[in-house]
Amino acid sequence: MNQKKTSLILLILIMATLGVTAQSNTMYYLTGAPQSYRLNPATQPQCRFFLGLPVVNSFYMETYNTSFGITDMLWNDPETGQVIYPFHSDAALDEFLGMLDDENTLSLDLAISPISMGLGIKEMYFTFDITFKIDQGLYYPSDFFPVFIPRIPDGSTFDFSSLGFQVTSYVEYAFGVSRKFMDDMLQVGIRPKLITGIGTISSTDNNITLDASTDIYELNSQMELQICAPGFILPLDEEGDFDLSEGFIFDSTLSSVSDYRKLFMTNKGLGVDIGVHVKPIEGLTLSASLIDLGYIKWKEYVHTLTLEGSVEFNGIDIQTDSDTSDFAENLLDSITNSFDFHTTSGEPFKTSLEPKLFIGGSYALLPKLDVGLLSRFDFTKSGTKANVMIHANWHPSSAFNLTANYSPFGGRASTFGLGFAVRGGPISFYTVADYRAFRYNLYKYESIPVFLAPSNRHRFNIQIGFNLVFGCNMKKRLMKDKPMYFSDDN
Amino acid sequence: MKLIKFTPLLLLIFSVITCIEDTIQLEDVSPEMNVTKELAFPAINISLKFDDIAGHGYDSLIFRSGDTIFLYLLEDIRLEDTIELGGIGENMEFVFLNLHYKITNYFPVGLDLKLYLYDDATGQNIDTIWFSDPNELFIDPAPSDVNGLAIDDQVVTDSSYIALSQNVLDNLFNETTQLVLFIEVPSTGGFVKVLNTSRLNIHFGIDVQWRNVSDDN
Repeated sequence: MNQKKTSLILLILIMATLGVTAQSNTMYYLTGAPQSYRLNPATQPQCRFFLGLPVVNSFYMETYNTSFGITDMLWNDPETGQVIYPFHSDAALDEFLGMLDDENTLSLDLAISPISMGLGIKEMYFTFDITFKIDQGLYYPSDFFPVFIPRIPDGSTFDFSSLGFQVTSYVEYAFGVSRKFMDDMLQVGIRPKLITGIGTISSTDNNITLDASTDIYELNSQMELQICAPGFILPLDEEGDFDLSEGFIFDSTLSSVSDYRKLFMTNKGLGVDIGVHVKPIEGLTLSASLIDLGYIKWKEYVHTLTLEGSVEFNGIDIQTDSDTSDFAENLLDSITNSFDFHTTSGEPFKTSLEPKLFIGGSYALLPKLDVGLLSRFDFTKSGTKANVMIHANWHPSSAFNLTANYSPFGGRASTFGLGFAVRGGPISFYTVADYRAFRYNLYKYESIPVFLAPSNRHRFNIQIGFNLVFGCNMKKRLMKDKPMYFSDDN
Repeated sequence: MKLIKFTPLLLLIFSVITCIEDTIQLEDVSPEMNVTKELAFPAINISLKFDDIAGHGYDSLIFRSGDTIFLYLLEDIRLEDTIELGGIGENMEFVFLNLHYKITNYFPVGLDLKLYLYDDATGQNIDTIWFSDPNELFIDPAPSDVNGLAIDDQVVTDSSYIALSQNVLDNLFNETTQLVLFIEVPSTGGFVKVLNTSRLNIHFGIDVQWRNVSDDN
């Protein structure tokens, strides 16, 4: 049992250190990982050919909550020895509520690549990837928790306008090409993408407020939902509005394979990644890339739903000649009838990808050790987010590559990223994780480790990949180029 | 050589092990959830005609227009009703409870209101919630003209709140089984005329702060 436990602990610990992401910062300088070109299409993999093992060539997951993490939800109370949470009487609830921003995001993104391959020909390198992606986000306001605790003092006003969600799923077909110029002093790359949307649902225009007092409760709500669910029809009532009781109905007119193929290719989009590496002086490499610039146009099976309603409640009306026992039922009916779903169909809409800009510099401090800076800018719906990292990349051989970075400006939320790539024969494995914390809490159930959560961190990501690689031995390649003579002086 | 190869990985695992700050046993999670809660909400609205308070046993005249007027009140009118408290307040520790009211009285007569906290076990009222000072009316009469009719334009809405003391709260939620509502319309000094269209509008709201108290506390 102890051995099993130890194995489990080790497994969790190792898993916790794993990680790379489709857009992992750490991946940027992990040159041993073939898929590092996804962060800068100018990057050329070390091996002249790679073939990602189906599905596992690159698995990426990222989840984050912008305001609090697991360790903010469950912790040991040093006074009682009990495990408590923010709603416990010994906890500082106000401190927990103070951690919330006006707008908060809970997100889970997944990316799996069924196909990933690349081939280098002289100065050029070509790559092709098919990646299936799901982006999910729940947006919630800081006013969300007080209502449910409840903490509703007289005269409260709650604004839920930032309440919303989005789920988008799509497939990305990316063809990349990179070329070296001027004796490797300049490297440029471009990675155009064709995107096919699988489905999306998102709230786009919310205006929800609740005024609460001893006089009246007043809820005003307007929420717009944009939906594209290929293959599914929205049931409408006699007035042409969405009939909630029916749910979605599968389009029975779809029968042949060509129908489904057509359906799959209906909602298309375009995207592009561009990048450059410049080596102005010996040992110094400057890099920049702009990735995920693009959009998806949702054209078919498109619906816009508007939920509008207003409810006022100023107390139970006591009528001396009537029965108030069915008050709760009447109130529920009243609330339900106060909200209407209006449906607008057929108007295409666009959703854009979230572009990211990387600008970095790397200097070869030692022959096998590079250090430098990397800055990342995320252009999201809620604004631009910037991050600066110090990084180090150790590459003792072409078979092993270890990289680490540190974000010093996060204060309480400072993190480091770790990643390594290792190659044994034709099999290459890499793993990367950003946002590693410096302290962890180990959560156990009946002494069995269940999960490991970083202290004071709200973000977790992981990327792992297995690839078959060929043509990785640089010396052999150079020897092949110059069969009669090879010297390091060259 | 192998050791050198695996050194970074071993270092990685070692560094993570040494970074464990705390171990949390999930089965030790405290079931207690005694965070202080606060809720302000509108409770009830009552709109009373004179008949609702006084019943139908009073002399009246009917105008041609159809309105009934009650000519005068020679005696006090008293109305008592009981409200079962049920299990309200069980396992709750109240920090404060304010009873907010908003009253618009179109009657040219005043009204007093008391709540008796009644305990079935002892058969006694154990406390009283006063809505006004002794010898004062909770609801003042509407201004009336020389004919004894209320002047609607001059009627004002009175709003305020009554803060229940900790002692009253303890009695209310720990000892009381029934609330006895006592309404009294005192006799008027002279003739007043109460139209049947007149109303007494009462709104009650509650602002309360409490903690849940589990049995094991």
